[in-house]
Amino acid sequence: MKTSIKTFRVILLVFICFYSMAVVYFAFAAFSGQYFTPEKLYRTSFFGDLIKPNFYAYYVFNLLTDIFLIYSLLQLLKITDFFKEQNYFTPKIIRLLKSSGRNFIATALIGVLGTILYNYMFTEHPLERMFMPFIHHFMILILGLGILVIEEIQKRALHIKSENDLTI
Amino acid sequence: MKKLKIIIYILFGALLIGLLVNSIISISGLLFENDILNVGHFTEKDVPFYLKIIAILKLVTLLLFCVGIYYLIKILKMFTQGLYFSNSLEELFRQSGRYLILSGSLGFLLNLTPFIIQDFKYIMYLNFDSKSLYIALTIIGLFFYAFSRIINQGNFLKQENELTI
Repeated sequence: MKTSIKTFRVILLVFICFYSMAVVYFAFAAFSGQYFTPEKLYRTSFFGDLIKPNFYAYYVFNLLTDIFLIYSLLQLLKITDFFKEQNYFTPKIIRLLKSSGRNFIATALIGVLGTILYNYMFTEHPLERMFMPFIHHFMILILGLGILVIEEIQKRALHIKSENDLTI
Repeated sequence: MKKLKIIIYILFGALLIGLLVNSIISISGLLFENDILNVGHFTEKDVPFYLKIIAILKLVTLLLFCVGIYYLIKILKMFTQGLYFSNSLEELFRQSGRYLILSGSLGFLLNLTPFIIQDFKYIMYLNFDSKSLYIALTIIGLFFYAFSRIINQGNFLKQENELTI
């Protein structure tokens, strides 16, 4: 048990560190104009008819997706703190699981919006191009719901545990 | 719980359809050189053989993900039968985690291939722009795997509870 939790924690920590650094680096590059911006704006949106404001608007969506993803992963990391101390069933874990699951769902939904926005503005054939990235957001959405399923198990376990403690 | 179950069932159905269409687009593009996404590279020369192999591996990744989610659906079925803690539930979580880890790691490695072979022309057909999502998939798989051990603890608690009664 301890080994799998330890492995999970190490991988999660390394990923969160690298991912956060990458997000900061690319955000800096995007907003300072060094990052690759699309060459042509095919359709105008609420953000005017210049490439840069439209690209920045899309990038904000992208950034939000990353922030939600990092936040939900941090919550998973917090949960493993409890597991490490052998507190397997506590109300705090239930709250963290609920919030993490919801954040994963938010990541997927904002990701979908970002994909729609980008393809609408910067691709000639948006419908065809939009379809492929959708699948990945869909995968994250289902996994977010999977975490909500785990939350239900935790609720049940907490109920049994409190019943047990009362009996003793 | 029932609501969650229905939502996951619907999404799983939609995911299967989505993956099928995704696979058809990838296969028709990279194996049969049919430019559905209007990328415009197919007029130059044939798609390289290694990209065809990568396309097939990508399908394997998606298939592994589907198997992982299939186990998750099985878990949901057990819940509706009131079986919250049992050895089979632990096993189902472990299996689901294992397949998600496999799918996530393979997907991540495949995502790196365009950078290794320096060929970005067909990236749209391989949908290789989401490395972070594949790592997140691996992490959630690991979480499911670790959680299977927690289920074991829950099972122990439940048995203790039943014995006391």
